[in-house]
Amino acid sequence: MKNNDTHREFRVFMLPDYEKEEEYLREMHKDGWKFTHVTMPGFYHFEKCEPEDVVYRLDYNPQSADKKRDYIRMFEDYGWEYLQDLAQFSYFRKSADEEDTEIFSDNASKVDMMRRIFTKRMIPVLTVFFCCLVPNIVNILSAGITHVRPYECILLGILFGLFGLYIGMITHCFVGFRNLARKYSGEE
Amino acid sequence: MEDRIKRVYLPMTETGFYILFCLREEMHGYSIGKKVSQMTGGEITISPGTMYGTLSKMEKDGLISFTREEEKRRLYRITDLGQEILAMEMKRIERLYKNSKGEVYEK
Repeated sequence: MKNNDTHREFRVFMLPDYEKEEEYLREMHKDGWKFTHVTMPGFYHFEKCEPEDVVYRLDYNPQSADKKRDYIRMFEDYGWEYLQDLAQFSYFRKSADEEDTEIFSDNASKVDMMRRIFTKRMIPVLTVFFCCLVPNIVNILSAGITHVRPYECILLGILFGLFGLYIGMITHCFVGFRNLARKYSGEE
Repeated sequence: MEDRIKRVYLPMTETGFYILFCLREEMHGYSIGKKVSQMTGGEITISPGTMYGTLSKMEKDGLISFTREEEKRRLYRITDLGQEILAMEMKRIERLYKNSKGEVYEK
């Protein structure tokens, strides 16, 4: 969807892809599209602006409502504009000309953030996968597929489709987290 | 003191050390950041994500405690446990310093 001064794009960034997402938003801003908001499952909304180099950063640090104000206030004190939260990720931006355009000043805190994402988001995904999908698939395969009715065919298709999607997602996430871990430990 | 606390915090990271050191006075995150930058001649900067993460962790582990809120900013101060950890770390730094000057460190 594109008209003269607003623009919407669909993008999927998975759990370990937050740095790619930051880079994407920065490039859009350089092209004269200023990020306004993002909605599930991945619609990015922009408005036309003067091309500018603006740094975008995502933080993952879910906190209770009483601490949220302090959290946002601290980033604002450091010169960051708070944009929104989506799926517990907080979005910030700051002009690239300003000083300190990083939200983490050491690798230890980058690793901490990655760990928070892994435990709070990745583990639930793995739990659903191993406790719901895998047992179902195993049951079906061990019973053998014979004489299926048409509607069962559709259900099976959905189940196997989900299974494949999960395998793909999980693989992508593990590779992504491993690459981030290498990067943060200075191996790259 | 729990072994886990010692294992996690000793030796301290520079960020951890400066935050704990500053919190001998009641302060909020951004003011700690400014003070650290000023006292180290700009050598050490602590970015907000790092600052927030470290403060939350130290509060959870009981090294610092929340005192009050001022204009939406949470203020913290070091606890007795924090003081203990800081004292141990300072001794370690003193030993390093003396040894680096070629002196022998005596307890």
